Amino acid sequence: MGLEVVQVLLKAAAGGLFVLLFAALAEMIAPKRLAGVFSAAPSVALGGMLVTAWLSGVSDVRQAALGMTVGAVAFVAYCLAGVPLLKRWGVWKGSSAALGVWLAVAVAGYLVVWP
Amino acid sequence: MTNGLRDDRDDHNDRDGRDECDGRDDRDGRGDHNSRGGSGGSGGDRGRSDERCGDDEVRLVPRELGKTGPRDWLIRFAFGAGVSALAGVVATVAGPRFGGLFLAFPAILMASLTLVAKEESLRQACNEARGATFGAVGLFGFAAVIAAALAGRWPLWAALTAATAVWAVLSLGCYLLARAFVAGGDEPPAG
Repeated sequence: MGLEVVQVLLKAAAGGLFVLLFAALAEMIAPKRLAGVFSAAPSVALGGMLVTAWLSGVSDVRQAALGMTVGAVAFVAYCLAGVPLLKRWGVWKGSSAALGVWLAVAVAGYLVVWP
Repeated sequence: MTNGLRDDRDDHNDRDGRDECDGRDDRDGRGDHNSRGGSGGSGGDRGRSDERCGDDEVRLVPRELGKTGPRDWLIRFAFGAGVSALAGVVATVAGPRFGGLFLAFPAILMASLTLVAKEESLRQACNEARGATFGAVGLFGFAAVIAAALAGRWPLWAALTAATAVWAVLSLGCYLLARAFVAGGDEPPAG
């Protein structure tokens, strides 16, 4: 149990640092549509995978990467659905609805690929 | 993303977030931002980018970094740490493959969209979401390369390096393609 807690805390710290790194890049870039690319940077993944490899081994990293492929497809769906939903419902309702799209695509995709 | 410093005149940004994105009552891009000098930080940067909306020239401006307040960096770190912790907890409970789904969880984009819409305009948030689509395509490439490279017994550092390069090439390549054939710059303000 203790190791799991340490692992989660280390992942949190590493993910936060990588997010800062990519955010700094985004801050310097214009136009904003290009800066938006960095809102979908693999910052959390890099932090999480480094800690996972260190504490759990590379096979867990590969499993996480396989799951992430499905999550990334869902992320694309989030973005595609997000723009019209933001326009229609405003930022809070629109982005929350898009998050529902992400969840639905992610879970459905996972169940289809690994039934 | 946000700077926490707002001039009262920034109230032109929509509250319910509907008017600017569809172009109604969109007063962004008319030069108000820069004339007052009261909005520092990245909000000021976005004000300038508002002013030049429709300009799709790619620029790297390192001095903009110094204009972002500590609060903004703290918020970003907190979101990154929170999402990473969520992915870690899910991986611990449901296994690394299911936890991997959450390595592509769009919480940071969602936070960014809400902050951008609040501090600037929903139109800019829409621009950010469009750009994130390209990054998300790159994320798929990132994950696929890691899965394939580790299956091929690549060392972890090589897999992560190759995957990050693939993310950059795919996402920036998609952006440049869109810029060349569709519309790569920010959505221009109406009026």
